[in-house]
Amino acid sequence: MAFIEIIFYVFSSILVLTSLGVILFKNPVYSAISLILSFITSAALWLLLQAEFLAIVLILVYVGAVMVLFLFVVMMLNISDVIRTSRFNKIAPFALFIGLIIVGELITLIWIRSDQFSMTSSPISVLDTSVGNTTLLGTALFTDYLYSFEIAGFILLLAIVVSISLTLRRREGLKRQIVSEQVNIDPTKRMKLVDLKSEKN
Amino acid sequence: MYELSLIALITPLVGGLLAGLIGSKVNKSFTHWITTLGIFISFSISCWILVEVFLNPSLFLNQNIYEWMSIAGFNFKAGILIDHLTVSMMAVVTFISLMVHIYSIGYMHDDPGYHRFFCYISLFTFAMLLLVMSNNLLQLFFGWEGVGLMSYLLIGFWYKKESAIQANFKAFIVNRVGDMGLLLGIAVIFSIIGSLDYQTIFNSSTELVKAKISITNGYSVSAITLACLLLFFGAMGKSAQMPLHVWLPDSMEGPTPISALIHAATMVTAGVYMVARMSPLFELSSVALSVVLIVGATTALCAGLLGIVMCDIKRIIAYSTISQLGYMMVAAGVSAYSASVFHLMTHAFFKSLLFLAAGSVIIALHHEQDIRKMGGLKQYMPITYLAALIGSLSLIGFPGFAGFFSKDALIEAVAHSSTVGSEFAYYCVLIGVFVTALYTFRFLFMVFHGQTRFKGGEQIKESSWVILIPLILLSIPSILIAWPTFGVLVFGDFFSDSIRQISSYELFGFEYQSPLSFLIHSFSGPVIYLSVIGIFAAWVGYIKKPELPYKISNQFTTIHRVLVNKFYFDHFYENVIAKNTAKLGSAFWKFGDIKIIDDFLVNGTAIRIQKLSTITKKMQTGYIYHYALMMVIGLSLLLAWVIIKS
Amino acid sequence: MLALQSYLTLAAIVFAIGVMGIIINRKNIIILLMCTELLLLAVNFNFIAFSYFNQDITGQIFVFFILTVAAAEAAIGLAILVVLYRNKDSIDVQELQTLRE
Repeated sequence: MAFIEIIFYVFSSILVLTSLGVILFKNPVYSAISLILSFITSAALWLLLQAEFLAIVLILVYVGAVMVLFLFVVMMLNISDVIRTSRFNKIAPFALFIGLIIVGELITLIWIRSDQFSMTSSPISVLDTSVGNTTLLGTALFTDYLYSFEIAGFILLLAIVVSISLTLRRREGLKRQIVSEQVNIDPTKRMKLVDLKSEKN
Repeated sequence: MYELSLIALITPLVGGLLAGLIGSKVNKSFTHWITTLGIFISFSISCWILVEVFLNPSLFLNQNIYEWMSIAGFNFKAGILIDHLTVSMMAVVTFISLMVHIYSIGYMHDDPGYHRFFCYISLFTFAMLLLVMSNNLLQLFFGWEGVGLMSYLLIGFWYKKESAIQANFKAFIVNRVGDMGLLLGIAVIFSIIGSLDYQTIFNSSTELVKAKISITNGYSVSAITLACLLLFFGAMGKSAQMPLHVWLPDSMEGPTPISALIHAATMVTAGVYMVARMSPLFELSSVALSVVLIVGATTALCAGLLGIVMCDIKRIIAYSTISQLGYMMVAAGVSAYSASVFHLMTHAFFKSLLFLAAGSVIIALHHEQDIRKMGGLKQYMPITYLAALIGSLSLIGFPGFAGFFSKDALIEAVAHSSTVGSEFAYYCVLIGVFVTALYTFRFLFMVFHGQTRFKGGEQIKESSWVILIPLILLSIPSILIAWPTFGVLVFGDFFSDSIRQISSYELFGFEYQSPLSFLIHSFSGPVIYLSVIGIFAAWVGYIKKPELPYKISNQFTTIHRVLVNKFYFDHFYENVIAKNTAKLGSAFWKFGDIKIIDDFLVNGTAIRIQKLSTITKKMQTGYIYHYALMMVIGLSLLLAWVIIKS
Repeated sequence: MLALQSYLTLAAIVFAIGVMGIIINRKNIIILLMCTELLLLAVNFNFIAFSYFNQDITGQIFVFFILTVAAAEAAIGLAILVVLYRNKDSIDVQELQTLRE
């Protein structure tokens, strides 16, 4: 038990610090890397909650794909001038104040409402250990939530289409094949029959 | 019979629409043939139904054609009611209309608005038939407005004439005042009974008697009295009773056939018809009856007095019409509705005859209407003279003529009545008889007798046959119509299915035997002698000693001035009512419209919104983080609320 | 003994940090997107914690979908950002004020 608690506190401290790093670093590259670190610590914490599959997914999808995309965009854009200026301004104390209020409120709510949580106080072996977390999730996903799953897939497809269509750029002066024009061509415009008088000699 | 009466109703409409829409594309003969044919069909059917009704008195038709609308459980229907009153009115209306159609072929021959004219009079006939044949108050109101509209269009037929435009405007507005009364009366009935169907209203008229309508706190009137007074107010407007009579003399600006059709025979009688139709209600309110009686009597006398001093040939007849309408109202006021309707019918014949004769004179003299510039026309236009003479004799109630029976019967009824105000009414109508004779024969003598006062006398000749035929056809009923019908219509129970009728003995105080005995009986009353004195006075004044009227008018300058100025009604309306209304209107316009609505409400709203938005605009910075901040503040407030609640 | 409240408190802190990041940041729109990811992470934390302590797999399913949508959102958001940068030559939040007009 104590070991788990130690792990929890260590990782949660890292999570809070890296989260602060995301918003406090001047350089967005540092921010992104800090965010990656916070995802990894989150994944570790999710392992504590026996959500092994999601922890792996978080690292694979988020760290491996999304955050790389972030870094890619950050580095692609020429934002060197942004880096130098401080991100702090006169509204920062107010933001801190609001943030603290929200934290205070949420924590108050969590602790005064704790009696309303229908939770078991000893969450040992919540889910059947003989069946793996992945199996359990997959079973639920492909039976009860099949339609949602399909919709999720469709959303991803949509995201692909949108991203491509938004960022696609046609440059002037490029020579490329236009299939539709080739197919729809009118033969009479291509070929001209000319009567030529044969010369008599 | 239902289908036939529908056809009778529709044919004038079809004829009128055809003439109006495609008449000008075809030619003149098409226009007058199609419209005259339409009216002729309608007239034939009316006559046929009339004969049927005479043969089989129990004949009765009350059928809804279709349901017009249904709102919140109230059904408004369009329907046809054929009873004896309706049939009589239909026959009279279509007959006069037919005569006027034929007459107009000659009279309007050279007018550029030929097609328009025929379209209007046919549509007018349709509206009048709709009014008469209706079986509910809503349809009656529709026809009522329809005839009002067509009369507006016809008075202003010569729309390039300034005075005609003024006159049709006046007619329309004065009629609106009356219509408001009618509409309110209908509303009172509807609010209490919840139906506009005649049958339903009459069956539950006791509800109207019981109901009270409070006007102010603590003061309420009986619903029946209020309803009847309002309905009568509507009738006053349409039937030109004082003080709403001012439009009728001015409406003489329209073509003469119109004066004959609308302002003598049909439209103005709508009020009388409506009072007769509503007689079961009027019978229940003695106050309303007295008001009808007194207004009618006053109108009968005063309009007659005005007729003496007028110099325009059509205006004399117009005032005579108002006076005769007053007589009809008097008869209604003493509950002698059958006499009232009978006078309506005879009056329709002889008054349209007089108008058409006057039109014949006018057209012969090239649109000269001043009787001071006529005279001695007898030798030039013998048939017209004869027609005018017959009309005049009928109008003054010369024994044996149609007008005599109807007028004498109603005067008898007044004499015998015990309604409040009947004594006053009796003296009014008696003086009225004298006055009627005086102005009628003044008109006749000044136009047809005495010295010729116009230029180019040799060229004056009798009008064409198309004008004379209606005169002759109208002359016949003007003399004879009363002989076969008088007993049945007035003393019999012919109208008992439609009009609330009291037994004739109770009403007239003597038993009726035959027209002849009635004729003899009348010699014992003062009426005949009064009209003879009237004729004699006219003969003295306008043939024997033509300078006498001037002497009299110089003697009594004040009275003469009052009469020439038509009792100052027009002055009163124009200077007091119209001007103050205009002032009120302009006050509303300047204060209510410009200040409140325009400046405060319309533009003011815009200005205030603009001012407000300049303040709120500052909140809309366009920065994402400002919006986010607002969201977060909202979130924290929401959380705070949740915490406080728990 | 680790209670549900510990996890929830942790998530609340991370959430508040994300909120503060959105408010403070005025220069770089990418940071805004990253803060959104932080907020979503905090929410996911709650779901997984509840799923564990309530012994219900549905919470994890929900996280799965949130991850999907978040990935799509990140992709589209970054695409928009690229287009924005291409058009305005800047990703400065303070310059993105056209909504005001």
